[in-house]
Amino acid sequence: MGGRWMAAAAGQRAVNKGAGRRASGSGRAGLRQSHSGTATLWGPALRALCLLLLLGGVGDPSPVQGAADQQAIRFSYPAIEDPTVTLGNYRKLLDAMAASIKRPVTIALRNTYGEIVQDLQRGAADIGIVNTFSYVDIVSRAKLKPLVRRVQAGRDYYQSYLIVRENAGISRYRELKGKVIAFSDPHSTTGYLLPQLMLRSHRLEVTRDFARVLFVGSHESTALAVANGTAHAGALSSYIYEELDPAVQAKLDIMDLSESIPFGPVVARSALGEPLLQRIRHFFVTLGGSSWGRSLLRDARLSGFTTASHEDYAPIRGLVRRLREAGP
Amino acid sequence: MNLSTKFAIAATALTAFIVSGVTMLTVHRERRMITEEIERKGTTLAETMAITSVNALLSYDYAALKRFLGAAKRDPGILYAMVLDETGVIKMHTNLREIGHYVTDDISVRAQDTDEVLVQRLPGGAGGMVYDVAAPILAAGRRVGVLRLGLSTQYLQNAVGRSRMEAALIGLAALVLGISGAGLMARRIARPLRELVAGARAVAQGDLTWRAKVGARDEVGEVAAAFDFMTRSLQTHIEERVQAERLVILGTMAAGIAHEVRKPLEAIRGAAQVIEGCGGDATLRKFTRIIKEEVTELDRFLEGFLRFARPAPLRIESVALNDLIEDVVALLDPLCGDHGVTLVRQLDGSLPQISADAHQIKQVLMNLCLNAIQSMPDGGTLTLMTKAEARDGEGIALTVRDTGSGMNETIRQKIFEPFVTTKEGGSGLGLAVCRSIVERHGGQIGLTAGEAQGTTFTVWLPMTGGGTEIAKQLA
Repeated sequence: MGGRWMAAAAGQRAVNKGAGRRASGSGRAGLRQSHSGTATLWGPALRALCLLLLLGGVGDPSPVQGAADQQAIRFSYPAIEDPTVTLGNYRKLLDAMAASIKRPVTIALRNTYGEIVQDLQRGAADIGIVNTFSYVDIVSRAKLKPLVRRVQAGRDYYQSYLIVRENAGISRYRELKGKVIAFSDPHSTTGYLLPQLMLRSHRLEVTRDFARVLFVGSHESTALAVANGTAHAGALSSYIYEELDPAVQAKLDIMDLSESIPFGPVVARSALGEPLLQRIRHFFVTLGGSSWGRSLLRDARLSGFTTASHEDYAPIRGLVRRLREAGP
Repeated sequence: MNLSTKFAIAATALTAFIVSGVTMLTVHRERRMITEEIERKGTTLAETMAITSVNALLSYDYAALKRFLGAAKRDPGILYAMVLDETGVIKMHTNLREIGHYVTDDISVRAQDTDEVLVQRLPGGAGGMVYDVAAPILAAGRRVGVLRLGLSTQYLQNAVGRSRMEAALIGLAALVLGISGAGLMARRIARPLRELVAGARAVAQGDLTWRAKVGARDEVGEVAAAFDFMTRSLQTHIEERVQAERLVILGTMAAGIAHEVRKPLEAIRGAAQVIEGCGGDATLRKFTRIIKEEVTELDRFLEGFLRFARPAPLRIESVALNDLIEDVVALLDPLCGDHGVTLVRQLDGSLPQISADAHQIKQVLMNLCLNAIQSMPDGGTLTLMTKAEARDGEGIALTVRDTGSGMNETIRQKIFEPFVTTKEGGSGLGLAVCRSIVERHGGQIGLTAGEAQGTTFTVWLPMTGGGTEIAKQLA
């Protein structure tokens, strides 16, 4: 189950901040070999979606779609960042996309992955950003197609970091026992699910071996909770960690990191029609080929996009299975 | 230091005083208002933020708290914002280096213990102050943390500094305008004064015809008018004095001449009468008669000359000018009839009485009227007109107009000088005597210029004697 990912992660155990970056670098090879895995984070995914929507509209709409082309494309995205800021940043992109594809676009802001999944499943949304584990969970229940996956800092994968407060005297798993630990969200891939497996591999159960388990809502809050002493330890995405304020980073130590998993995909309902989906996908992955596209990518702090397929996430299904087998 | 400089200095000092006073008052008031505003704003903001921070604090949503405090920090007046838990640990701070620290200083201890909004002042950088505003974060009536804001007075000082700078610029502009205005004003005031100084020098050098060209209706204009009046009076007095001196000399000469001439004349007249009494032929009688007539004419001339040279003193009394005119008209009426002259009177019946010598004024009237009648040998109209008229004070104007042959401009210029006449056989002293009498009354006599036909004399007499002689008598 996910052997290459796990293999890539093996030997990356480290307990310092520099090690996190080194581990990420070594995990890249595993990703290139497998091109599979499951996990995602909202911020970059959201930016990716907006770019996707912007670029996907370039070109004539398919005549096959007929009247359906005139309907609004509804996309659902998570309110991970400040909603007013998010809307302010992406509204122009979405407007441009709407003008380009000659179809209106409506936006649905959602609080959790679960809500986005529900929107997609019941047809309340046409496009959505999902995290890796959510994607693996829903593909069997809804007819959704993965479009693209983002590439960030040259990588299309990420990891989970297990962090502790600097100088807290915790450097080994057994020292976590009886402490307070913070996670972002029970549905978060790198914010809870992967760390749960990491802890289990060291015979620590979230529900049994900690004084308190806090779900603080976001990866950044996890980092801040550890930094301000609310929790002794926490888990968050490598991508979020790298974007933390240096003052916060300085208060944290990385105790361990997980195997690498691919970023979660931007998915779309098949009902949009393969021509439109293909056009969106095509423009999305060729975004880096133009200076205008590169400018948009820079603004979104992304390197580019790569085509996402169902098979890319096959190894993640093993992780999900392991988690289910282990129980809550 | 001249007047302009003094004026400019005074105006500058006054402007500077007013501007600095207004500036200080404004800055003080603004500082107080902003101080009150900063306390009010801090209190309101801290209370509001404490309420809205509860959920994030209790749910450990520190990312939301970070955004929340970060948004508050965008206010340039807010130095810091922090959320502490009930134990005094900084859970979130706008300076992320501070999170996780435990605060123990006095300010923090007081802030941590407060049950209501607490405003504390502590020294800030650059001599400014920091207002630390603490508001308890309450959940179900229990204090779960404290929200604290640091509001800088540096912001206030900057605002006040900007105000002060603006006020200084406005003040500077006012000062420049004030100085410029004062300079212009001073020059405007000084210019006529300089003219008056030049006039005083001209008058001192004997130019009594100099007149100030000041049209302003202010104090400077009054000074100029007074200066002109003084010059005119001086000119009049000097002329009167010169005239008086001349008359004294003339009178002395006249008396001497009269004395020396009249005796031989009487001798000639007596001799002529003796010759006439001795009989003789017609030729002898004819020449005897001529001698007697010429002697009589010469005697009359001497009489007139004496009257001009040694005028009789004025006997001032209250006189109704219209009555004098009526008296003269009564005397002249037959003569007018003889010459075919129509006499027209246009007299203002409401005229007040004046102080004058009735006899001498009547003499003036008589003289002017006789001249007029004589200038109309073929008849005409003699018009006598009176009216009230103010010149150098209140007075009465008398106009004597004839429709005679008139006189040329050369004669007009000299008509009031002694020995100037248009009449054959005239002594040329009548109008000179008239002018002497009128001027001794403080009045004016003149001839209307530019008349194509006829002559118009105007006599103006003051209501109360304006002349030196009358003044002396009235005194």
